[in-house]
Amino acid sequence: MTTLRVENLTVRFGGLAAVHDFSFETKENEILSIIGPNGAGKTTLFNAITGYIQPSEGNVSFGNRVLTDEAIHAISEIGVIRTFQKKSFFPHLTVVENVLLGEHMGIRPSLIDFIKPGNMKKKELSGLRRALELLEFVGLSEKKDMMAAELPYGEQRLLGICIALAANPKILLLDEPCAGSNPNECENMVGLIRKINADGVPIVLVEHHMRVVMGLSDRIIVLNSGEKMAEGTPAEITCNEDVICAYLGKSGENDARNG
Amino acid sequence: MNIFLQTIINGVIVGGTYALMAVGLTFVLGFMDLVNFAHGELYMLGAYFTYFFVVTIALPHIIGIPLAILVAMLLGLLIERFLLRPVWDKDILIRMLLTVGLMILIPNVITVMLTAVPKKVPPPFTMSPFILGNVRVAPIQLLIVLVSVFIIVLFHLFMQRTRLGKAMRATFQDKEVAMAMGIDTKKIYAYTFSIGCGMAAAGGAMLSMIYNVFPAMGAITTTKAFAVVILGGLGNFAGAILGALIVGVSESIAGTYISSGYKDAVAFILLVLILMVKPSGIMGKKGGIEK
Amino acid sequence: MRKKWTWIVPLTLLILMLPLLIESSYFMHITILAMIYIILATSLNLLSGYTGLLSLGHHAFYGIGAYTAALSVMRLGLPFLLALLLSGILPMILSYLVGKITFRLRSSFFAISTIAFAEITRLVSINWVELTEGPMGLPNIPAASIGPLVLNSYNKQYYLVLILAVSSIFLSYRIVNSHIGRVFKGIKDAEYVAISTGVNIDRYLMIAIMAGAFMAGIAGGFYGQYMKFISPDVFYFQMTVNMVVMVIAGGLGTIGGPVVGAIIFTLAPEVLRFSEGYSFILYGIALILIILFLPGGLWSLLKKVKNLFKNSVYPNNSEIEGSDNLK
Repeated sequence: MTTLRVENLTVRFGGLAAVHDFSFETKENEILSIIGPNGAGKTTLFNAITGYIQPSEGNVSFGNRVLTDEAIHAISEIGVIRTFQKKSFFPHLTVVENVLLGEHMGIRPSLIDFIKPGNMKKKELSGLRRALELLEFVGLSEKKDMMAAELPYGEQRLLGICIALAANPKILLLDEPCAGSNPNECENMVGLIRKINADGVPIVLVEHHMRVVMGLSDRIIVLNSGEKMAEGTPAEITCNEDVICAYLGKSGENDARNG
Repeated sequence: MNIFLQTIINGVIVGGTYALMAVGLTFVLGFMDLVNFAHGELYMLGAYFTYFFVVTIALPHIIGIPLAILVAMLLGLLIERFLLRPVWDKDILIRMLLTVGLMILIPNVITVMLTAVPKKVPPPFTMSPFILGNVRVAPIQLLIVLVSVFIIVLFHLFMQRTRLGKAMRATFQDKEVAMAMGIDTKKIYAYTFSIGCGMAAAGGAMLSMIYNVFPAMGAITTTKAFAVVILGGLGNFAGAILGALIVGVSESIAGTYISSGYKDAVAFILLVLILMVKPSGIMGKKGGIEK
Repeated sequence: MRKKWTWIVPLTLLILMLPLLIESSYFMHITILAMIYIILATSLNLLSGYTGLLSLGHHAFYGIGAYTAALSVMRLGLPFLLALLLSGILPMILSYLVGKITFRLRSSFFAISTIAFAEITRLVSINWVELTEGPMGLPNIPAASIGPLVLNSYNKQYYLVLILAVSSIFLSYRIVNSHIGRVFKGIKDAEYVAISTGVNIDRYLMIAIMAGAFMAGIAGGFYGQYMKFISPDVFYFQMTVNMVVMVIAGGLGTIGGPVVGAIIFTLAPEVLRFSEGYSFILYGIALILIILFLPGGLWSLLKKVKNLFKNSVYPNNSEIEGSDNLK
């Protein structure tokens, strides 16, 4: 069984610890949410797990592979794939090109492909077929020839996930997939995440929308000022006094502001 | 030993003048992410403006040189308003190429107007060199270094103490936050570019008193000044000054002890060495690409 | 599909018969220079146009190529074709080292670091007199000979450089229209996303810079035997400025743009020559105007004109093109 294991992870910027002595382990095929107020260190945590930031201390591993010290692309190669809170796609390429880039590890030409003439075309074609399937899966097939930048916001979010799926994730880390979406788009996203999980991909989710988190998660970890504050099922978290006090009250304000 | 000491002192003097160029360049590069190839042209224009005010109209240096710097700053404002502002949101290459256009245009305008014949600006005074032991220092060189230091200190105080300086630093750190705070970032960019131009012109004005003034002098200086800036680090003023002194002294040493032919390569070789040994000192970790 | 060929055939014929149409050897010379610049602009476009990393030291590869070919023919007595191949390989090896050191940097910092490398090679070419004859340059470089065929006329030189230029365009077309080209565009567009899909960024940048250096080196190798003389002037920064101008004014990240840019900006200074000192001023002004008013480059203008013409004649053209794409 391959799980993502984070042990005593600490990330410091200058003297400040954005994430401090943080540990968790995913369970097979679960949806694990990490929540916390703005600036709690959620994105930093993702960046540290996927190699975008060098952690100051601690270890990250997936199955028996150690991710700490690996290059970002090597971590993707292992199957740990993420999306971004910001633009998680290529704005000046068409939608289908975006997904083909997501399939990079599957369709990149090897040296042999340059020598054997048919190979490259074969890879491209099977890649294209798969891209169309994936676009169908997330519901973007009709927009395949549009520039990604021209898509409405919610569909750009879907495209970001589609690119990540194209990379054949063994585990998927989603950074606020619903940020900035309207309730409709958000609902759509929740359905998609369920579908992906049902296909056997475990998911680690960072999200602000409490309804999304509570509806989707098997387990929730609450992060506050870079440290773990609570861990449990959605029911347990909603009853946790500390969490209600420190986070849920505030998040109501946050949601109001964001909305 | 005396030759060595003299070499070092010459290097520090040359480095002092590089520093003025480098601080202006790093300011524009770091704060605006603009590879400003026109920087050297403003340096050249600073020298020509000085020639105009001090020789043609025969104003005293103490008035003519500040006037030359002021005119260059006004020109900077015009360039920013009419040429750079329309392309601010464009690719970095496009912005840079615009300054390349200026780099081609300005010296040729000067050549057509004034010919390429070198001009000279007389120093404000003639004094025999100071002699300390066996080391000679020309008073005019000393004056130039002191004025350079004065301008850099003035600049530093401006950035730290004034409202405008603080607004500039805020814009540099996070443009969106600065805008939310009510800072007019367009204005900030205009002033930043203008001040950068002023510092380039100041360098040209200073050196016009010891070197020839000619249309191509800007282009020659620009690439080396760029190397000094990268050597020092991203938008790092102390780094730029240190880089300038290191390059000045190393060039002087290389010129005396190794070969005068390779003297001009010193800045670039140092840059390559720094990049190989300590790239993180310049750009930080690779994760920095995620903006 | 058939429509596309209607303009390709006459264009090919025109290019092949150009030496018959141009009588003046001076204009033949300009045409050959334009071809050299087509190779150079195309080669720079691979890295700077597609991946978005601006190299300002590209002329170093050209210069090293020029010296490599000339010296291997004159000193080592190698046959021309082998020397030409070497003039591509040596810069390619050097570009690998440049990449290793500079790919950690981005935007302005990358651009300036590449200048540093080029300046070092220029100063070496001036000062390593034993190898390069220093500032005096290398005179009497023998004209290219392939087997018994000696390229001793403008026409023969034209056909050689034509083959090189077409090969460069073809090579870069093949790269750009493969998955590799897609990765290039992805790196330029959103590097952090590209890397998250498992792209080894450095490897792809390396492909771009090495292919570019190879082509630029070959252009240099051709230039030396064509001019019969090279000097450290081949390392002047102005060469890269010219290339960058051609690429951007022509159209960044397109195959046709650098070609159009190279032709126009090689011819323009010659046409403007009547006005002596003013020609550079006009060059500078033209450049600034193109950037301000035509940021997509001349290529985008050509496309616009073409579409305008098409749409007025065939109102349903877009539909026809759409169905073409599906096949």
